[in-house]
Amino acid sequence: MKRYILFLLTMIIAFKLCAQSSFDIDAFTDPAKYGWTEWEDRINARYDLTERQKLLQIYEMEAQSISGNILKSAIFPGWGQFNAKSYAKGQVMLALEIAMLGSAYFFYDRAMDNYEKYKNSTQIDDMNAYYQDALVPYQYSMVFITFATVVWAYNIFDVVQTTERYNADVWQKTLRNYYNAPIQITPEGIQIRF
Amino acid sequence: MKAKYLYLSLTMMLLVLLSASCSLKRSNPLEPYDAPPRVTGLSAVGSGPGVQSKYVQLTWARNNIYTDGYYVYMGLAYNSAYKLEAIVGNVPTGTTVTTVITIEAPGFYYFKVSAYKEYPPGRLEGPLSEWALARVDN
Repeated sequence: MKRYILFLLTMIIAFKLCAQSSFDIDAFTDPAKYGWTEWEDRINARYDLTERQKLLQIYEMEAQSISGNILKSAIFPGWGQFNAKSYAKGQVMLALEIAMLGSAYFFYDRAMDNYEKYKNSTQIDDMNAYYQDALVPYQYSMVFITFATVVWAYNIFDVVQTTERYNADVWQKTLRNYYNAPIQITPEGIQIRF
Repeated sequence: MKAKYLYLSLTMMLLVLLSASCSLKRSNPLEPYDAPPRVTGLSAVGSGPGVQSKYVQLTWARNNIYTDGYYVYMGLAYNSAYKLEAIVGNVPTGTTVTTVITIEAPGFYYFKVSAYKEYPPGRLEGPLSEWALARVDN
């Protein structure tokens, strides 16, 4: 049994070694693939990458988590939008949700009131009248619940886009602040703008 | 893009239709039982002038099925609220039912009658009859 395992391991290692030998080192080390024509281009690209990495840290501090905002909006519609500084959207989502749920509750309460009367009635005309009086508001309440669910689902969909837009703005702002800064330290020296 | 909005609108309409088709269960315990039929042939005659104890005599056609007794309602206008005035049970055999309602003051009075039937969950009352008017003289 041990022999078989040893043989199998040897085969796997041999296969891996063969696989490594087929790696195209020329293509990997080709400096032209990045569009660098001179040594200075490479230094500039490296500098740019380092700077972007620094900016990325600043960006990550200010950027918002999409999953966090989804959770917030799922719990309280509009919260994620408020968090992403999209106040108007947050207010609209919240107002719509409150209006839909409030209307649904209003009609449901009225329906249940009439339904209770229907259940307790002993006269056939009252029975039918109360049932109809309960059914119509109940259907309205169901329609409003559906609208509230649609608004809630759209609110979740929207918070993803809003957060992505907010994060894109944060990145642009970070870049802008960095490149428009009055003092910049570059490989060529210290640059001061007036 | 247009197709996307069309699908969204159709989905919304479908959801609204589905939610609007939700219904409430008919759960009244008396619902499965047969209701008494509507009382017909109601007539009301008030007591004439000079009578000390004023009254209205009501007569209607006797129900043949699902009826154990009758409720008599009285109102002051044909479209006003009607108040239960008397319960007529143990109806003797015959084609008509007659009862007398005592009246306090002279005037015009409107009456409606409904039949009821006793079932295990309770008493089930049928639809109200057409109104009948009686004039009670002073």
